[in-house]
Amino acid sequence: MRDTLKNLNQVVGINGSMLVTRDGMVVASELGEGLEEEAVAALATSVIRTTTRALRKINEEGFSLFILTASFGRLALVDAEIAYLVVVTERTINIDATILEMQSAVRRIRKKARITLKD
Amino acid sequence: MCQETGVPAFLCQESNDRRLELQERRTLRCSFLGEPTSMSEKPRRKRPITPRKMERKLTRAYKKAPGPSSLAALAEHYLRYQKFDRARKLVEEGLLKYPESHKLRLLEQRIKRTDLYEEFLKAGQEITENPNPDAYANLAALYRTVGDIDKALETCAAGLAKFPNSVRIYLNVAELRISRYARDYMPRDAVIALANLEKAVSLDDTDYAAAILLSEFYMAVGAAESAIHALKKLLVSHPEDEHAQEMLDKALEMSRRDEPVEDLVRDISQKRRMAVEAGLLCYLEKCVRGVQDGKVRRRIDAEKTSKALTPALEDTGARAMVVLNPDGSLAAEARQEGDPINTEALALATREIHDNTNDYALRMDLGSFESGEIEGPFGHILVNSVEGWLISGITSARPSNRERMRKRMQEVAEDCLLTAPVIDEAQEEEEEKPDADTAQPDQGA
Repeated sequence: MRDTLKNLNQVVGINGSMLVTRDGMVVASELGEGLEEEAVAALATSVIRTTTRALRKINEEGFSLFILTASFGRLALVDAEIAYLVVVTERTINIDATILEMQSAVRRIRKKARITLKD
Repeated sequence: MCQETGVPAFLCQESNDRRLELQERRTLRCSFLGEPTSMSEKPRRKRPITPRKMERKLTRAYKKAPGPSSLAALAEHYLRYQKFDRARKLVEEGLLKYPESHKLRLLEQRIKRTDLYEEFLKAGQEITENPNPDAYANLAALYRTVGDIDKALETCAAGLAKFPNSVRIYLNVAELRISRYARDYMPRDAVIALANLEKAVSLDDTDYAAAILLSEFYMAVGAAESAIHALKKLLVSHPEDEHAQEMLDKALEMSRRDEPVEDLVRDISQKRRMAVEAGLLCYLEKCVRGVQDGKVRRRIDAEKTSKALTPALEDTGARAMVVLNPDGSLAAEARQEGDPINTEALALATREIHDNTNDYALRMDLGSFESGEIEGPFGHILVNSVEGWLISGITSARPSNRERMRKRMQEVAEDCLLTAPVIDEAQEEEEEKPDADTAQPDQGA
């Protein structure tokens, strides 16, 4: 998992990435300088919970992607079945291009998770 | 014919070289200013509209619906045809009317860049031909002048990679970070500024600019002991400096607590955050009492906003769109006919997503919430924050719809929210008074 995250972090504009379960457990983490694991995990868990709860209000269940754009950076969450892939990026990157890289990483993570479960 | 050699131009090596150089310069200029580099990149039209016709069309559009979008389109037209003075005047006037317009700010940056084009070119050439710390510092200063702090910091980082012992670049980074800290109060900026200043002083403790800025920084955050230490060092190399002596006296007078500077910086940010929260509580309290705070409140026209949302629905294929007031109430809404979606529930969901995410983003030093995009089996939900208002829409999963939705939301924000008339409380009160006066004689009669 860590290798996948490391490879993902090579993409221009990505500052760090981690895998967090819905209840806030960190599965793997490769965060860059200045990013605290606990803070990112807390934000991710809060976003997952709030968004799921908010979506229930309009009779919808779950989400597969969340992109938060803030003044100084972006945070993307992608559903990877076993957990959510959390990616912290620069504010100025072209997010649409980076999403493809994230989805590719998620596919690799899902594949590895299935192999581990079979074993 | 070449005028110098007298041979046909296509045979003359010098003419060819000159032509290639001119072409290269043009390409460089176009890529710098964001204009198309060749004719092939221009959109092909069957009937080309002349610049004058286009100008008339855009002027009419601006007069018909004055707003930052139409104004920016006209200014952009002037820029495209190199009428810089007109564009500058228009953008300046526009920024006075709509100071929050992002489009106009970008155009202002572009005009400034055009004005400083030659200087940018010179600074860039100096870095390529004769790289030195001053060249990087000059380029960073130019970026700072046009308001592009991120690019200025990037230039400094590139300079430091080549000249890791350059005091001037460290000082530049510190100045840039301090100016950003003064604007945004992000503790990380101040901490990095401090590290850069300390590095600059450690490299050259006789550098007056770095030493005085470091002392001022210490004083500003209340680290008196560190300031005294830095000022005493400075006075060794500049014993007759009155400003440093005055500061030293002040620092000695302060003799307050001297905690680690990083803690003090965080303390300031924490206090500011508390002040913001306290301000928000006061605002909410006033809202509850029916008295709204501030003189810069805008009153949006709910009918006009709902009307603006309806074509956006048709264009983007969205199921519903809502606009929320800063106090969380529903300001305007629109939904497809026959769609069972509850707009009030969408408004509630939007508010919940925004409030929670914004809180954590601030805690993580990511800054305040600007927008959120959620994708799921239902399609896309887009939430945009504009000066306290929230615009939200739910659309199908098609990427083209999402892109259109982003644009439409921006347009609604610029045309309905940011241009809404400012509420003048004094005038409102005066308007209310005559009603009361006229009511009294009636009662008496």
